[in-house]
Amino acid sequence: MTAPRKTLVELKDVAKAYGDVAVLHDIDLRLYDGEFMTVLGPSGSGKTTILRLIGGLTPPSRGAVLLDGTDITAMPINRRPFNTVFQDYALFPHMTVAGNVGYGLKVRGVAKAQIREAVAKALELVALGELAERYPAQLSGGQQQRVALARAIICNPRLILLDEPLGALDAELRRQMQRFLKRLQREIRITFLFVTHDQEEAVTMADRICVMHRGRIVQIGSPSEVYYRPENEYVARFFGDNNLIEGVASADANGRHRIATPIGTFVSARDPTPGLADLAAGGPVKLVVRPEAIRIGEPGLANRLRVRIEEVSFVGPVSQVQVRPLERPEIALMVKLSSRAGGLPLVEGGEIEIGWSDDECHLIAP
Amino acid sequence: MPSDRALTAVTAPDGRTGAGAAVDPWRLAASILAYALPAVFIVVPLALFLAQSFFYVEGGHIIHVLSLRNYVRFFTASVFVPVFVRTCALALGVAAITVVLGYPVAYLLASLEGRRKYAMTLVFVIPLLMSYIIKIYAIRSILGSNGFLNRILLWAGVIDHPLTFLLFNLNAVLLTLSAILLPFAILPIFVSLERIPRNVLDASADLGASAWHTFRNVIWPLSLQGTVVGASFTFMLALGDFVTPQMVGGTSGFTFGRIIYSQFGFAFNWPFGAALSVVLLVVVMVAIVLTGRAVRPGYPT
Amino acid sequence: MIRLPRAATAALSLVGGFVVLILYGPLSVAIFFSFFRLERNVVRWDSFSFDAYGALTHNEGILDAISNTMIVGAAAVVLSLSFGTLLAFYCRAGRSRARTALQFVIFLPFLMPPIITGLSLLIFFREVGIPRSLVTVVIGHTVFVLVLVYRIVFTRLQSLPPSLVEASLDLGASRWQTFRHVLAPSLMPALVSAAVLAFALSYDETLITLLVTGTKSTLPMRLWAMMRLGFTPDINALVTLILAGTTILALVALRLVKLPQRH
Repeated sequence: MTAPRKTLVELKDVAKAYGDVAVLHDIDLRLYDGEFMTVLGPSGSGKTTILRLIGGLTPPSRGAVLLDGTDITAMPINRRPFNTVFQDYALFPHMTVAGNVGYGLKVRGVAKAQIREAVAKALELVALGELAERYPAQLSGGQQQRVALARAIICNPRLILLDEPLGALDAELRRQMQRFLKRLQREIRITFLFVTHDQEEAVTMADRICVMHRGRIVQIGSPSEVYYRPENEYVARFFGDNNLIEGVASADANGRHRIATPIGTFVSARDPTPGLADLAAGGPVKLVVRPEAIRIGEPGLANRLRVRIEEVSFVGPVSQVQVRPLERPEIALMVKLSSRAGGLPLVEGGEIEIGWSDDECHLIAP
Repeated sequence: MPSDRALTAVTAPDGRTGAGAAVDPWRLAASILAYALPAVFIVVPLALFLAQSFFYVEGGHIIHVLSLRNYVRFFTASVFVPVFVRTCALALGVAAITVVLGYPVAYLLASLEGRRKYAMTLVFVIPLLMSYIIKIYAIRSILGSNGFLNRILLWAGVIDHPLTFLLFNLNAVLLTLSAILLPFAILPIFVSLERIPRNVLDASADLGASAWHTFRNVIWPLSLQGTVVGASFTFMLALGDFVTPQMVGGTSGFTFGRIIYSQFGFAFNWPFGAALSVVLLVVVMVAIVLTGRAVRPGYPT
Repeated sequence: MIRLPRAATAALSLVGGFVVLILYGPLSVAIFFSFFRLERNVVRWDSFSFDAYGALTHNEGILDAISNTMIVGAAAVVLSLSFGTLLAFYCRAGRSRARTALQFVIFLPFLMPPIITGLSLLIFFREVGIPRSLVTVVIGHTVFVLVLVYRIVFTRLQSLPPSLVEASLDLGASRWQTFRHVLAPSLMPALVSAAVLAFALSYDETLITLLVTGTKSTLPMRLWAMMRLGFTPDINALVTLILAGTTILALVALRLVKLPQRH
């Protein structure tokens, strides 16, 4: 666990434009050997372009693609030791499942007997052993997807690229496939690069998530890092509701950080986002605190605030309480609490004190 | 964009994804061939043909000097323009007949379903692929004074003497061409009828329109373009035809196509023939443009 | 499907019946008289025989013409298939003004009156010095059917998801292997239907052929000559055989052209 991680693929200073339309800007990305990375973002964020750049389906307009430190930008698709699982599966309709899966080996000139063996193993891996002689048209969406997966795995690539492969599946099947893919990746220990727009999916499967927005990478980190330590407003708001309070930074004696806001001065004991302008000098910042980190009526918390309850909503396991600070009612904050049968002892219109510890909030750029 | 990119990768990988060579020899050869062959066998002949119309013949030789005399001759000599006008009228007649007969047939086909529709469509389309000359020959053998039609009519006592106005004149050309070109009118009309979205027809019926009203207000305007295409196609084919008039036209059924053809045969005045053909082409292009304008934009094509 | 009241269907069917009569009547008569003979306005029903057909097999000119037609048809098919496929791939690979112009150019010989296509080729051959022969006929036919082959192959190519090619390359196949294993099998039905259609069109092509043919003749040319010289007993027999042949060809062609759409 403490061994330094080896970089498998790197994108260095990569940009991509189609004609006048810039799709990717200033991309620097490292993919570690053996990890499951998810590239997450809405459509148009450039996530699929990154996948295509690495796979060799599109050349970058600028920058380099490196494998094991070697520049492979000019290497054509069919020479790169990567395989892709396409969004529409791209199974060859005129070949059987076995034919599809064995294709990669066939074009390499591998002997038929060996191909048969390898195909059988690959199909077993994805639990499709008995369907070897069927044609893609005779399979369900989920089965086709697994054939595409087997086809990509069989050649033992250094990296498998998955382009939103679960998009066409229904919710239940999707969840099953998510768990299946995660397990599979651990088992075969091939690096996975998975592109999706679904945050839940990303959080479930990934070792690291790369969040993209409008052609730029806005944060890379483990799911919990990205969730609890967003580095900017976009990421903060991307994963569920979040509270952001504007203010001005100042230093604090104990190595903590203070932010002076219109509704009070708060303290954060955690490191702020790296790269923030000199905090002691009082630059503008924002404080991020998750709704579920806010407690009601608990004594001894470093940050406290008196608020009026505006609305209480029951949303299943969680209840949302929208509150407004007494001093500045134009600001809205959200608190999330575990629901209780019979409702929470909160009255709309009533005044309460909320608070959070200095350990559960941090500063980001404004 | 990605859709074109993939095939580019197969047929024409650009330098970045390619094997490093700046220009792939196969791709270059393919591009050159793609443009060269049509250029040589379609564009060049047309250009030469156009040029030829400006040359002229003197003393049995073609003089390669540009001149307008062929066109002047066409307009001033007393015989050409009338024949041309007559031929245009004939072609319009053929277009009219084929569309008037073809539209109901196409409509009928469009109202059928499933296997029946497929089978009946075949019935009307197969004649397209049947021998052209044989059709003319067959019609000729029917229309003649000794032909099948007359024999039947005589035998049935409908007439006393064989009808002679049916063959070896312009009437015969009109009838024969109409019979031959009918499927060319049926097909485009049928296709445009088929293209009318089903839900539009359902909406019309839902709103209470009778079959006639639906036809008049919905189907007819939407099938107009197909009808015009069919008409212009038969018009064009009839205008330039020179075999039918030769076989059934006799001496009084002389059409423009025959005049053109004879320039390349006995008359041996190729430049003049080319000029006449250019006139034909211009009329055809005008017809295409006019019909393109006549159909209002916005309707499903 | 257009709904029609009964009366309308009846009326339309009448027109339809009349049109069928026009389309098939003359030919039926010709076929009929290939089996029977007419003597003094009376059909001799006892004269049913295949004699006329027998006479055909001895007619050298006809047999020659038939074989020439086959040769020209086959050659035109091969050429138009190869070139049409090349063009389809080329035009599919991108969009450009040049490509649009190219598509228009190959459409021209089909769009313009055949007399113009034929004459322009005739003048071309003369200026360039190519003597008229079966070769020029092949060129004429190829140029004429090219756009059809191109359209059929192009449409089929368009319906193939681009990810198929990407997947093949991604799995390590070369461009040639991709063509051989992925594209060609998918294109095969389109190519077959295009071939049959092209052959059917070439088989009966008359107007262009008349203009660019040399001394050797194809079947339509032979028929043309026969029509002008006069009747021989075997004409009707020949007519029937040709009709049978083209009908079969037409049925096959139309079946194949419809087939890809069904799937």
